[in-house]
Amino acid sequence: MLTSTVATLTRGEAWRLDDVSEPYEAGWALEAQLFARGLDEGDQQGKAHVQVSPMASAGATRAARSTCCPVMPCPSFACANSAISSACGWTCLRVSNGPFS
Amino acid sequence: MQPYPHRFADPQLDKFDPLGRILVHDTFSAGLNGWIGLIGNYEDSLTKMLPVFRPMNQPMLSTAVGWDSGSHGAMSGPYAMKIATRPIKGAMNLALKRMTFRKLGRIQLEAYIAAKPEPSEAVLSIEDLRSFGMFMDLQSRQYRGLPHLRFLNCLDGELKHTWQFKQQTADDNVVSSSARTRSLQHLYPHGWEDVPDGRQDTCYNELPTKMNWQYLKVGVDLRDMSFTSFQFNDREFDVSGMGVMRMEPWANLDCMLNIGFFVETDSDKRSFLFVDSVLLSGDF
Repeated sequence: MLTSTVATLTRGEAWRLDDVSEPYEAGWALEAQLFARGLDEGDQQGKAHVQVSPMASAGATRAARSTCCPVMPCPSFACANSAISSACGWTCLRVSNGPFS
Repeated sequence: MQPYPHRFADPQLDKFDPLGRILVHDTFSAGLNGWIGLIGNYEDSLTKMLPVFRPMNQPMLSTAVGWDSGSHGAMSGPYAMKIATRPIKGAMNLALKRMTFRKLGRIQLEAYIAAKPEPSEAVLSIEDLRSFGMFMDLQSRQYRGLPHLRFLNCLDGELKHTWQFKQQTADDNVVSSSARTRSLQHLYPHGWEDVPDGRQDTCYNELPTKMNWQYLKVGVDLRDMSFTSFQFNDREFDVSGMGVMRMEPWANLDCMLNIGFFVETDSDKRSFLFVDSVLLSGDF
């Protein structure tokens, strides 16, 4: 079975608070690490949350477990980890308001 | 005496009818095998990428989970390659595999696939999926050829159930300040023509969570970039009236052999194309 892969979930798009990436199915993985990099200056900080769900349908969004990390204006990287398992269907990244604390 | 001497002992191969040499035989329970999303050409900045390519994202390994049954699984194993559009009417997504060819001759692509809308509500949803199809991007020293085929399921809410091809040469744009990188607009929605006698009722099944794996076969001759065969399930189509998008060779693409699958949505709901297995063969 596949043991690791890298997938760009979103690129070159303007992100607003509470935007969520398209779901990426990774039920085969034990762990997901999500990275975010700003491509321009932006206007405020935010937090990146990892969402996981057992369902392939985004209509059934449910953040069963999640961690969050800071997203700074460019140029920066952020990284969030989430333990997922074969019981989970997909994972995605959501950005919310406020500085990370 | 074997009753079927032309058959394969391996049932994973025996469900295909390959030409003499098998180049690719991919299933997706162990990985994506080099299948990847399409990144539009650009230099300098991502903003140079043509709009049609920007929303495209990566294929994934999926057990095809539905809310009413759980994991559907694939035909050949637990995982299929899943290509998903965004939930925006008219959105398209695709996955492709990039190779080169070693002989200018006939090639043949076969696959078992299933196209479904996202099972996000308890309705039939048959009008939600616009189309699914295949394309190739090929280049000999004489031509660049891009065979395109799609099953137009529904357009603006009206069921069509018609196969279409695209032969109208697409525009291209320079997408770099150096003027060395161009991008071909072959995936824009215009330019489709109906395959002669191309109407076909396929197996959608009664729920968006029920998937039936369906057989697709497309043959192409690299020498003149023409279709040589086209079959979907039990229908074999006459390819004499089907053309291929063909143009002068581009720089840096000698012997290119790219194969891909795509899906389009006809509503503000994701559409999925699941690919169970792919076989590419050639006559050498």
